[in-house]
Amino acid sequence: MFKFPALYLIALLCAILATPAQALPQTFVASYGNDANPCDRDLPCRLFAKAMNVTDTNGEVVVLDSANYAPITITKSISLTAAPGTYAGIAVSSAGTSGVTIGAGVNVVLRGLTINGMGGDNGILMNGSGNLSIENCVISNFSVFPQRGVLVNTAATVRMVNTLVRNNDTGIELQGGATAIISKSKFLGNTIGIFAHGVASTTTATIRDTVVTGGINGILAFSETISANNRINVIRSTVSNNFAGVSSEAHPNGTALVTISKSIVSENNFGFFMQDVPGASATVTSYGNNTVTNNTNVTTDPLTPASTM
Amino acid sequence: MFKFPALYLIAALCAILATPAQALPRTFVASYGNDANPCDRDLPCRLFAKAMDVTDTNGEVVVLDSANFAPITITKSISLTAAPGVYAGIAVFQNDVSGVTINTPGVNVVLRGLTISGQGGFHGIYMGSGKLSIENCVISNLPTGIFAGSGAVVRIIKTLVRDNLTGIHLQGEQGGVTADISRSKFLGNNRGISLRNVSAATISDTIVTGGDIGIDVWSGFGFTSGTPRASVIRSTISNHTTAGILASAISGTASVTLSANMMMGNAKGFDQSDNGTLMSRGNNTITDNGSNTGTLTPVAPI
Repeated sequence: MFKFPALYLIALLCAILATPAQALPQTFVASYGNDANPCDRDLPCRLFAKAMNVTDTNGEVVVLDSANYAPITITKSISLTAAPGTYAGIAVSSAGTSGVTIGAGVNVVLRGLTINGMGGDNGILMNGSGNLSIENCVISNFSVFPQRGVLVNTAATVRMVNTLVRNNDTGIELQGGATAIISKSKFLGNTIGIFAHGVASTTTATIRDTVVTGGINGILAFSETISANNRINVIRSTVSNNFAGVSSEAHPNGTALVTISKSIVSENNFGFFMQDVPGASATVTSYGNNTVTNNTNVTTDPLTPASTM
Repeated sequence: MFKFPALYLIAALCAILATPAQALPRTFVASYGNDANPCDRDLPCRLFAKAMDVTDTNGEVVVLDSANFAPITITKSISLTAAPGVYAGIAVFQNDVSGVTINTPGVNVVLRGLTISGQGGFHGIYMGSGKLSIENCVISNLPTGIFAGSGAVVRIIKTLVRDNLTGIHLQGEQGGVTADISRSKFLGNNRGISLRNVSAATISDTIVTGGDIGIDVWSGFGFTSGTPRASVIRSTISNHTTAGILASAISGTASVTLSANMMMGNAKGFDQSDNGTLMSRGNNTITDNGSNTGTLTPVAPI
């Protein structure tokens, strides 16, 4: 008679029980998901954090239906993505936390998320020196100083496309040698819309086809230290209804530069605002093709002319 | 023997029954919802009004599926939002007066992805005061699509305003109104964008087509110190039976600044009359209109 060796059975059981969840190229989260699930299409997980853990590097976490998916700290190269038609929300309630925190040098894509501040520090905090792509997102209500919609405080590369940033204290703040491109995005009612504010490095932002309206400062490059070099280039954009539309400030030290082309600057108290002290340099360079109209004051100081080539 | 004290039981029951609905940072409405529900993801409410009441200030009401969600008066800072693919309708009947009414000073309201259509009502959105962001909405078939009164700040992004008597009207009688309109479409409104009294609009990448007057900036009668003004860039203003752009001031001032626009197929491309001011960057394409009236004042680029 065949006797089933008990040892086999035990070994087999152990193997099954101890096998980590298989990492998947795509994982899924849903309102009806459960974090005890394998996060596949049939048995989705509930929240981003669990799904990230079982997703391959460079894989995707896909949102299946509308719900709140809670703040997350991202530690690997990954994409969190919701197709149009799905509301993928992250409510950030606790002070000291951010909606999405990225601390490592990884490549992260956030696509189709709605991040709403309810007392949290930042919508997105980029601490790591990797790449971040923010696509088709809405980031709002980080409205109390010093909260920010997006804070990048290291030499990361950030791309923001088709994103709406609304009613924050600062819409996006770039520090630490960050490089950003902002395209076809809207900054509505932020105290400062777009803010380049590095301390000891060259921090740059390129802004194209973007609307910045309704703040104290619309677009601001601001340097305070000797080696700070904050630079913003603006093309085909609208800057309206701010106290200072396009601003460059350097004091007590440093260099700040905004270059602007083919844009409209309207209905601001100051269309252009420059402030520096001897030894520091704050300039706004214009390609002479901007429409500057209906501002209470056009500019505090002369703009530096540049020629198109 | 242990005797369960009845008092405890009663107290516990009272605590459960008397607990008010917990306010949530995010609430949900759905066609299958019920306003007796807590409005959370599992048990959504049916209409906006109930959901708003149980949503935190600066929170969001999320529409889960396509339905009519009925007119609402918004009294707190809140966002009503529907993702693309969901039809979040508000039908405005005569008794409703307005689809969305905002008349609470200091509130900051977001309407995203809503379809507001007139069925005898008067305003799609009535904005008495506060700040309002209108994003990805469709507003049609009303006497006034969007009305913005004194002190209102309005932002309009990617919104379609169709077949209203007036698409958007900036009134600004008691306090100034400011608007920023971007990537929007005004189709077949008798007046597309109308500015009166103390009002200012920046309009970019927008289409205004069909109707009587496209962008109507007019000051006079009653309010003698009006300063309505519009700054218009990269927009198309076409096919109006009176004028594409009107700047007219019987009293006060009225001005329009034009840059990189196309104006075509209007009875008049531009109509600068009385003491109105039309300023042009000299880079507009003004073609195939019946005529033009008045002069364009050159404004140099910077």
